[in-house]
Amino acid sequence: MSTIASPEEDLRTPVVARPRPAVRVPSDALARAARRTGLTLGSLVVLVAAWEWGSRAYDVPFLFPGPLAVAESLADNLADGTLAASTGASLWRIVAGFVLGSVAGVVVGLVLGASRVASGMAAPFVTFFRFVPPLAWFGPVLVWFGAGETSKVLLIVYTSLFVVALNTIEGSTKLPQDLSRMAGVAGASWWQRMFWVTLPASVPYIVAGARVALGNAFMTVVSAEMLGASAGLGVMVNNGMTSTNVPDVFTAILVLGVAGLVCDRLFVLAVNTFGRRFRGQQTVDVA
Amino acid sequence: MTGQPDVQTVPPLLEVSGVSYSYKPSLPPVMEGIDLSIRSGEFFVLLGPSGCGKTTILNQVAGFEKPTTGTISLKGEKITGPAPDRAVVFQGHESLLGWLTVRQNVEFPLKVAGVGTGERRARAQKVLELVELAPQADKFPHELSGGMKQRVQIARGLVTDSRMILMDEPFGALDAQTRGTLQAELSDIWERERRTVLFITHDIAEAVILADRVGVMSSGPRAYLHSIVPIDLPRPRRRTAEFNEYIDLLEATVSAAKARRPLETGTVAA
Amino acid sequence: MSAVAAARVDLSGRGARVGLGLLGVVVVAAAWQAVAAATGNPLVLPAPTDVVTALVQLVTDPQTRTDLLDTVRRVVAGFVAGSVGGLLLGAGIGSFRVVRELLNPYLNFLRTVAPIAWIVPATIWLGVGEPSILFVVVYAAVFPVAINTISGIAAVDADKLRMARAVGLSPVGTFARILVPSAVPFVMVGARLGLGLSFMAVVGAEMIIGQSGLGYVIYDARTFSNTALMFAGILVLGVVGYLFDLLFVGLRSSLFRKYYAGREAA
Repeated sequence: MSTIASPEEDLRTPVVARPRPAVRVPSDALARAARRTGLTLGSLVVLVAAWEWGSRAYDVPFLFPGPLAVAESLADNLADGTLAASTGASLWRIVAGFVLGSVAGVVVGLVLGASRVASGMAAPFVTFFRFVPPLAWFGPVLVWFGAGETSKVLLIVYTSLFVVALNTIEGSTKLPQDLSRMAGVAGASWWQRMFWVTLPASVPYIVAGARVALGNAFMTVVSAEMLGASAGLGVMVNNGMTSTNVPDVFTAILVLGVAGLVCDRLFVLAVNTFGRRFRGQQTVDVA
Repeated sequence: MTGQPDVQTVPPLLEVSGVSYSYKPSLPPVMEGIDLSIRSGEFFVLLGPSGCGKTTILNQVAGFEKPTTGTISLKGEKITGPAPDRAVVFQGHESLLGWLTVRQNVEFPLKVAGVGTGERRARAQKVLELVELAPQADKFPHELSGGMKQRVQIARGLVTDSRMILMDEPFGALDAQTRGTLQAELSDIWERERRTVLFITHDIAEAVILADRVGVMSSGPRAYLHSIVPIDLPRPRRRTAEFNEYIDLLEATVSAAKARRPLETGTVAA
Repeated sequence: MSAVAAARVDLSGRGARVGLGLLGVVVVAAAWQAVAAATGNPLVLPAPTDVVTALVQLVTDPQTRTDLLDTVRRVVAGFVAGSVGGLLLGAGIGSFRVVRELLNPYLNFLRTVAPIAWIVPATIWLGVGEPSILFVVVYAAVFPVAINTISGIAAVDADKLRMARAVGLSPVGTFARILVPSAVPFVMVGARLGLGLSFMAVVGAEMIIGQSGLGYVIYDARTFSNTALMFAGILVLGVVGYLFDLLFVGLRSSLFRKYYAGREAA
């Protein structure tokens, strides 16, 4: 949450050391995908077996449930609609907070990036708020906005806003010199420059920040819900604690992890599909 | 003779007078005492080694930087900043907007100027055909080769009715073959369009291929404009004996400029 | 610099930045004071002056100072243990392509789960107390560091590896002299992220199960409607976090500087 995620650092393909053949034979790619899937499935089986074995060795299924017990809890929670309701409630908060926070972050970032005076005056606050965890605001937010949805969504807005704003500032002030000169040569006005040059040129930075913000949103929603909500995955975790229903807790964690992972992959997919041209001449895929 | 208008009677379009530039007052100027006039419709090449301040002069004409002393004026008006009457072709391709197609990139200066969609399209199409990029019009910059990207920039420079086009070593980053092709094409385009061009290079052959007149600069610091060599060759220019004589002449001039002494042969008429 | 530009006020200098920053703080503090006076309810919005008083109390009172030190101790212990663990885990996994491909999805899964969600299993296994809080903090730091270390090792330039083979470096030598040093900038990115997450985790854990610490103080202040103390706690958190980050930036530009050769120091 405290780092500017620069596109160079965060949007890098992790596996780049392998030299790739210029012409890829389709069957080769297919074989590789099959091998990969096989490996993943195989490792999954091994992992689940190890988990089951560990749980039996621990021999207190009540405290350390195995995969079967968790699967049972998952099925129960699915059947009675708890899981759908919890996941829906959490996802709604995440999406609402993330979208509002990111949009606000872009606006704040563009304004601060455009004005030395504004950014100079805001600098202490931006640096300061970056280091205040969202949960620390739990008290004031409750006092000001009550215990309803607004408070929880606001905490997620908060957790998204600063990462996106910082990245937008970074992107909009690191515009390539020729790009900004070109805008001057074309005679672009302040608004034209902002919307036709600065904003699109900052997209890779904004996206890198938004990806971190999405991860933050998934983390913040849990704590926000644990401190008070009627439904949500965080509530499931909390209820599991009070009633010592560990399989329920594991189910919630499992769904959280999978939902977070799926959202992240969808985000990356969208970026790689629609975002390539914003990255200018680089053709590196987001990993 | 190439049948150009009698250059002596045309008033200068661009006047550079007494220009010097230093990064800090404590440092010796990069260049000083630069006097130069460029006539309307002329292809002027500024030739010099790296560090002589030739790019700085272009940046000052463009309005990106200001001279420490002296003035630069266009049609008698002092240049204070960048404006659409002076288009720029940059050496690198970072000035291309990666999120726009080739056509949209070329249309960009017109869009900024508020030109309507129909006219924008028509004018962009015309210059795209001129630089032979029409088939690639709907591609994105990252899908093009380095040479094609420079064609996009040239098309973008031509699309407005700018008084001047400023080119800062536009072919410097290209391979020799592509550079040769683009030089020939640029010469051809210039002959048809007769736009005023200020072109920066350190490549002597490039200067002979393109220029009406070549300004030869000495090396910095305290670089100065050593001499101006008119190139009186018909276009398209091929490697004839005359062409090679100009190469020899410019090489001699560049050496003389480097040693800060006048050219001994005295063959330079300008 | 041209005469025109020099005549304008230069806003990029260090002095100007500090001045503007101070101006910003003064303006906001004044506005805050005015709004607080207009609200007239210190329970809803305490005035900055009240918060400063509470802040001085928080730092000077031995009881709350212990809370502050507890939080710092937990973050330092958890973060150091977590980053070292993450580095070893990441280096181990990253060095073998098969292991990397095999385990990367699981690491990403675990990284996505909020550390605070593990507070429940942690308390069941480790009890309500210090070990559970530390568990959550360590968890917060491990995965960002591990994942970034793996990325760093995977991104090592192929020519560097070829060079290592050409000069006859052993696999262990390659690991220690080529892979780990090349991965340092990535590890630092992960560690910086991990530090932020550690702060998030410690505050949450202290709020939920803590008997001491800044998170506990803030939660407690809410229970007793001591809004000024709540704000003071927030201020201290921000300042402590900032100091830690400064330490980080300092390390990067001094001790680790050589690993950033040819990279932009962002």
